[in-house]
Order: sequence, then structure tokens, then C-alpha cells
Amino acid sequence: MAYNAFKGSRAAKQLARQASRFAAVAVIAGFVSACAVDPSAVQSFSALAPNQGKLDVLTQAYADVPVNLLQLDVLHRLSSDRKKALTDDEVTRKAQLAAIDGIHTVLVNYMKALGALANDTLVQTSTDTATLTKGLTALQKAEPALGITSAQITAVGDLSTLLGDAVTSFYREQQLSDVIGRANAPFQQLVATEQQIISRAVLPDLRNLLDRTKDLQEVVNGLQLDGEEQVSEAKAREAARAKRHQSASEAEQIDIALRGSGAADLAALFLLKGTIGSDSTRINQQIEAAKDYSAALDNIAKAHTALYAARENVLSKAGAKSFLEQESKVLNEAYTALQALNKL
Amino acid sequence: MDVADLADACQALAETLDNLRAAYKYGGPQAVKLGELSANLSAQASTLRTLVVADAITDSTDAVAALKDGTAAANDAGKRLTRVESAIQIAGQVLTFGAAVISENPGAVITAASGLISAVKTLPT
Repeated sequence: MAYNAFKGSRAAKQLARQASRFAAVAVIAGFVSACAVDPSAVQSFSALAPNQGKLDVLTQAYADVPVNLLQLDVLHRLSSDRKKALTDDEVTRKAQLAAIDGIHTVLVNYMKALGALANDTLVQTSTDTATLTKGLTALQKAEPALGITSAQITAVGDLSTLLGDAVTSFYREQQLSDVIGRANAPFQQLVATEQQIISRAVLPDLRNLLDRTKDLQEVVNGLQLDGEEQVSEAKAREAARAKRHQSASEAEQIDIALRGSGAADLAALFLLKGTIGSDSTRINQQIEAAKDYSAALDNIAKAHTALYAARENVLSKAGAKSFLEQESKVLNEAYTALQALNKL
Repeated sequence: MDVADLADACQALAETLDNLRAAYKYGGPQAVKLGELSANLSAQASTLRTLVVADAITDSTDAVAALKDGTAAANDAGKRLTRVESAIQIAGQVLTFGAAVISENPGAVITAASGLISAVKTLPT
């Protein structure tokens, strides 16, 4: 009797309403918390996408090696066959530049696309929710009898935003997992291709060019020593002659005497030595950058392997945190190595 | 031994010849001959490196196509979420969901939430 009286009372109805609201919110909140996203792991990986311009400096240096070797052949040591082969290589390498750029672009585009899909601002459910809360506010004013409170409108807006974000995040996670799963093998192969190009062609070829440059430098050093001896001897001869002919100044005498002494050759050698030194410095920088880039590629490959392993859960807060903790060394080393390319 | 190994071998031999010439201070015709051998081996190594890159590019063709597909799939998934019709569909479901919450009917709330989830799951491809 008392129960029936309570059941029909206003207090009981209010309690039932509150219980219903609590149940609904609990179901949704549970779903939302399960879908809470953190795109930081995928975005950290995406941020490692190597700069196209910096790689171009290295690949252009590789393309220029044949013509540089021909230019360094001042002593005509190369056979005509080798000269022709180098001339052909120059043409082939120019064509290869476009293909290498193409491979690099595919890698970079993929890494950036993953970052964009993981982006939690890709879809703003809050815009949809704003329409909802605006409509409810208008309804609240037009029909006060409905008893819609401002607190309810705010709560509904917040819940709708959370749910909308959660479901779109869930969708993003599914898509990301699928894409990463399918892309891992070709991604690893293309990184290995770039690695092969850098470590087995660009890097050793730049070392080759440096060796040839050093070789020419030694030749120039030898010629310069010989030239300096000749000039010293000429100076001594002319100083002695000037003493015998006091009519002209010593400087004038020496200047005239230097004309046939090889001093012009010496000056040319001096300039050539400067150019070679500058070339050696540049090639050394490129070699160091190629080493850094190779190290960066190794770490990018490792990071993608880790992303692949964690792909089912990588957008969740726990998954992202775990990925970033476990892969921080790999990510930092890749980032540092890529920063070193900026020296170019 | 692959082409890259052969290039390495040519380059290593050129360096050895340079070192020998410097260490034993060869002069005259011997120095000239050693210099020629070294320069030509070095040039040969460079030509072989051109082949290394050519092979690498050829071998990557399938992987390039596959990764392009992966990139397109990622971009499409993003576009599907931002397409106008999708946004309208999701917005409609958000409104239904909001109305259900206001009605304070748990069954309606859960149905509306399922509708929103389905709207996202069945986004047009």
C-alpha cells in the first residue's frame, strides 16, 4: 500500500527519471571512455617524414659525381672508354633523380596521410552539437512548459560532442589499423630501397669523389712546392743581378724577373688549391649528412614496425602512451638524425 | 657478390693503389701508371653505383604502387569523414541523440547512440 502510494508519487517519478538519466549517461560515458583517443603516437611517427629538399641535396650530389670525376681528371688519366661511361652515367643519373624523388614522395605522403587521419580535429562534432544546443535553447524559450533547463542543454551538448568524437575516433582507429596493416610491407621495402641508394651508392660515391679530390690536392701540393723552389731561385738570381744594375729599383727587377719564373703557374695552383679545399669541405658535409640520413631511415623503419605491432590500439590513450614510452629512443634518434640534414 | 660489392671492390683497390704510390714514393712512369689504374678503377666503381641505383629503382616499382594505395586509403578515410553529406548525416544523428537524452528514455538514448555509431561506420566509400 505504502509502496503503491510511493510509486505514484511525484518524488518516485523524479527518482525514476534521475535513474533513467544516470543509466543512459553511464552507458554513453562507458562507451566514450573506452573510445578516448590520443593521436600523439601516430603524429610523432608522421612528424619524422623526411624533408624532400634536404634529400634533393644528397641525390643531386650523387647525380653530379660523374661530371665531377671528369672535371678532376686534369692529368688525363682516364681512358676514353671510362670517360664515355661517365658521360653516359651523368645522363642516366639525371633521369634517376626523378625516380628517387618519386619513391621519397610516396614515403613522405604516406607518413603525412597517417598523421592527418589520426588528427583528432579532423571532424569537429562540436559544430553539429552547437546546432543542437542552439535549437534546444530556442525551444526552451518558446516552450517553457517543457521544463528544459540550461544545465540539461549543456549536459546534452557535452555528451553529444563526446559521443560524436568517440565514434569518429573509433572509425579513424579502424581505418588507421587497416592502412598500417596493409602498408607495412611496401613501406619497409621502400625505406630499404632508399637505404640501399644512400648507403650503397650515394655515400660510397661521395667518398670516391673525396678520394679523387684528395689525390688532385696532393698533386697540386707537389707542383706548388716545385713552383715555390723555382720562384725562390729566380728571386735570388734577380736580386744578385739587381745589385749589379743599380739603375732600377729592386722590386721592379724582381717583377720583371718573375715573368719567366713560373709565378703565374704558382698563383693558378694557389687558386686551384683553394677550390679543391672548398670542394673537400662540401663533400665531407654531404658524407656526414648521408650517414645521418641513413641512420634516420633505420629508425623510421623501426618506428613503423612498432606502429604496425601496436596498430589495433595505437589511437587509445593507453596505446599511444605505451608506444611513445617504448619507442622514444628510436623516435628521438630519427628526429636528431634528420635535424642533422639541416647542416646542408 | 652483387653489383654494389663489385663497386666496393673497385673503389677499395683504387684506394690501395693510391696508398701504395704515396707510401713507396713512386715517381716517373710507375707513378703515372699507378695513377691511371687508380683513376680508372675509381671511375668504374662510380659507373657500377649507377647500376646499383637503377636496380633499386626497378625493384621498388610494386612497393611504390602498394604504398600509394595505402596512402590513398588513408586520405579517403579522412575525406569520408569530412564530406558534406557525411557531416549532414552525422549531424542528424547527433540531433536525434540529443533529443533522446532530453527525453530521458534510456532505450531511446541507446538506440540514438547506435544510430550515430552506424552513421559513422557506414560512411560512403
